Amino acid sequence: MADGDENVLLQPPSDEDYPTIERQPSSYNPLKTFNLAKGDQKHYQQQYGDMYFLRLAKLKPAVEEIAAEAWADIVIAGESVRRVDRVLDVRQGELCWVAGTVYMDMPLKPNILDDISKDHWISAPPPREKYMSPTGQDQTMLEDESGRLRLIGAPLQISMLVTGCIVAVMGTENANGDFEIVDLKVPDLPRQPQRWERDDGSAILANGGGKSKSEVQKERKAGGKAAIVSGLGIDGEEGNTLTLDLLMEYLVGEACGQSTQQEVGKISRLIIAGNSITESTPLHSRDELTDKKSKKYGYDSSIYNPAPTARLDDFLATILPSMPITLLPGESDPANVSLPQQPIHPAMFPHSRAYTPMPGSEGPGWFDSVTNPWEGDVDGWRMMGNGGQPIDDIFKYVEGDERLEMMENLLRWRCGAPTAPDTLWCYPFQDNDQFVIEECPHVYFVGSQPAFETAIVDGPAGQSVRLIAVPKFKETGEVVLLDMDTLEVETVNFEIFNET
Amino acid sequence: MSQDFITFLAASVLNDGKIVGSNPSVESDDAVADVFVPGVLSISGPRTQSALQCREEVRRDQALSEESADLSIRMLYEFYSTQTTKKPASINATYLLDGVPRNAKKSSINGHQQDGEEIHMQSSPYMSSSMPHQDGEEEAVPSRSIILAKGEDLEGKSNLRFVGLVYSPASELSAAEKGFGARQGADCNRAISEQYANEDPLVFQEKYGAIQNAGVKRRTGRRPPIEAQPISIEKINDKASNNSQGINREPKIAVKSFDRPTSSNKSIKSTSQAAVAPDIKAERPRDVPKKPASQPVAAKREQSDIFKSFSRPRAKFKYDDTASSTGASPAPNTAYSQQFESLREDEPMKDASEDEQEEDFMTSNSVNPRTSKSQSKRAEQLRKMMEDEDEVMEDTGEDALRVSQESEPADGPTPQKEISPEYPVVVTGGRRRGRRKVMKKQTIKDEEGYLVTKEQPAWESFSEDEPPPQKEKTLPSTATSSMGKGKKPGGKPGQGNIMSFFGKK
Repeated sequence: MADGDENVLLQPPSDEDYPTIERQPSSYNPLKTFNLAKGDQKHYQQQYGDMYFLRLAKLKPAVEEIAAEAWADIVIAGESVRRVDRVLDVRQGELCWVAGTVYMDMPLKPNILDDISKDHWISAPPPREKYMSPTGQDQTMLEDESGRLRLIGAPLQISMLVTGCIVAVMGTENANGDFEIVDLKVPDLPRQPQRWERDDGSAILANGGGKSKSEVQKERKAGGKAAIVSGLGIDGEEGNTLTLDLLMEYLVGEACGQSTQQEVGKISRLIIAGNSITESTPLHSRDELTDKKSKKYGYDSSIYNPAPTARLDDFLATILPSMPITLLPGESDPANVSLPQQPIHPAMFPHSRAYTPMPGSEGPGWFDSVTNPWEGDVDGWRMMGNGGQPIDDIFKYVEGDERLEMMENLLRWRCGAPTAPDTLWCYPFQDNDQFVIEECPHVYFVGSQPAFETAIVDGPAGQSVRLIAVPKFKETGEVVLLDMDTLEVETVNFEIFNET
Repeated sequence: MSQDFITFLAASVLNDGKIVGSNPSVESDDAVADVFVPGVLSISGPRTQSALQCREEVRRDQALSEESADLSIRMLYEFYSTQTTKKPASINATYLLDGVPRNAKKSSINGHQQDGEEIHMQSSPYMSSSMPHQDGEEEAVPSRSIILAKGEDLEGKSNLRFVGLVYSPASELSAAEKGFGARQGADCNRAISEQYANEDPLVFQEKYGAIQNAGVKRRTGRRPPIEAQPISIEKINDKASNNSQGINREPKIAVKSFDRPTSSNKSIKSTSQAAVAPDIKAERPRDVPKKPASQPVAAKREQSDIFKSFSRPRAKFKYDDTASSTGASPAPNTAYSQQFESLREDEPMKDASEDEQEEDFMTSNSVNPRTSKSQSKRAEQLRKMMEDEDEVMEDTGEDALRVSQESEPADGPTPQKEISPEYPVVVTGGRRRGRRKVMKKQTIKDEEGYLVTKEQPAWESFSEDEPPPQKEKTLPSTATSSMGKGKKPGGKPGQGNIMSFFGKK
């Protein structure tokens, strides 16, 4: 079929220069909000109770402002609503409103005291999918430093509440001592910075005012796209990395035709939202380990499988020459368990670490291993994301599986991990509750969710947040592309044939 | 030919294919649902393509323009079709498809409407007041698929562009593993990444057609702290050699300790720059001996600085090192030892363990050290030494001591000495103290990394309440000192503690 002049492949390589595709640059300015102090500065002796007080102290003014505005003129049955400072000051039969911390009293919630008192258990029960009691024994409480108030009433049925969120409730205490609520307010979205706000500030500072704001903005190129992926789930198994290879080739621009490669060239940054590594074999339990009776004390290298980390390193090191990467740890990653998870140490990645910043140098690296949760400015937009643990934990408190709703509520509570420290492990902050959301992000992504979902939520002061639930790549093969000009999303789905 | 080929391809591979042209735009396959577009072809990436077992050619193809890539994939297909017509099922083909699947768009819209509804269903008071999800409801999330599919799975995916073709001879595969298996592909990819692991990706990715990024930041060179340390040490070493008044250390050692493996080991080590801790250990005993008598204390200080910069957790008495009898300055060294003898008076309990490491003082030439220095000057030096002692206890390694113990008797002028009565013996307040020579076992690492145990004469200082018969006393004191080895708090940090931690309580 092929004629002589068409035998292109049977010629030596031509010297012709073919155009290479240049990738769109990415403007990147991460925040260190969730970086914990190092070494001696990190303590675990503190009590967790401080976190609740700090959170209440920070968020109470915000929610009280909203509540006061909403309920100032409300008169019910000839009685005007009165503000009460403390939960304990609520008087029976008096219409009032009060702000405090929600506490969900759930019998099925894990309880450390139970664990201690029942230490003769043969094995711990499997973790529950939901803490909700099927018999309706759950109670919602409102507490502050003075005391607790049991809440009842219709608004509880329609609003999502979990332990640790700060709300204001309006109602009256009934004869049983329960507080019957009529209405409920949350702090709602905080102030949202303008796009490029931080970068403008630092640019002006850096230039000493030499350049005007518009000049700085003029230098900015059109934003590209950010690819967000989560749950790569690299394990030590052989032969299941083909989808990952396909993703890698796609991102690097090796796969597909030139038109697709042009599109891929617009992807300016890869964000990996947790769970890059999974344990393929179940972890050895404590009993199994002692059964082994190894004579050596200390580290037993035979139970460590380096393949997943090495493979992730390969994956990153192949993409990094072409694209900067932000790597968040997740639940199954080799980082600390308690939130905020600290960056995966670059020493885990012997090949990729060449792209990390020099120790002691300023500025983010080309390969940025960051905390979980993480926030930072990408192409001027404030992005905030986590590996999925806060949402997965909220999921246990509430009915249904509407992840976007949980994400939205989490932002409106202004608390990035409300259930910490109750049912979510976290560092015992003492001076500041880092999880309180001080500035509303433009993009809020959550990794390792069951399915891809997205929505835009709006705030009272014109805030607008793009919510993205990023699915697990290993299960769905989906990658989310976020347009950094319009904040629109699209997905790319990678499939391979079924092995039969 | 090309049109014939496309017709053939479309008709045979995709039953419901409709040909719209050989080079339609990307958008056209979105617009027309049932379009098969073979025209925009490129070979798939080198990794998935690797089953072709012709990596180099494929890599070259990466740089080809779309037209020639079209040709290359056409050739692949020609081969595939001729082979299958000659002998059916002799070859299995795997396709890389790229585009928007027919059902994906619909489902994503549906899915999203659902999301919108669900969001609306939540009707907590604050939600309804603030925020309806109009945006979310209207939004259809565009989705594209990149699919690696086998030939038999192509049905229903006909609106995807066909961008790559991988085939493998069926005869080479087991019956269970027909076609381009996922396992096979993954293995190929891994093999490729291993084979090309030593290539610099920044240089070679351009050649293979990867998207270039001008802003890439990669570290070059080493980390600053690592570079800084050897420099500082070098400086210190320079100082030390200045202190040694230009004595050339290397030849001296070579001459003196030529026949001893430990010594030659030491000299080998010392030739290398003191960038790593073992080298320093070796160097240490060498430096100190050459110090002139006039400024031993200052030299000591510098030594301790070196070790501080490396922060070795092991402890050693630095004045052990002064043991070196280079012959030129024996008297001050002995003066040192004597000073420390007197220092030890204050803490005789400790000495039992520490003394055993100090037996290498070569005092044979210096019988009467006290005459060499004035009392006041010695007192001041002693005070300085006491300050330094603490530092060095933490900073220096025991191994260094061992090397010095090992080598210095050899270096010294009197290696042939037998176990001897103590020299010199001082009697203060009814207590006898002094030093004597004993045979000690030394375990050192030779240049090949083997541990060599040798019996060596060594000096040991002692302190006794009453003067016993010398020969009887020698054995017990050796025993106590060897016992002291195990529990030496500074010399072996943590070891005894760890064992006791794991031991029964």
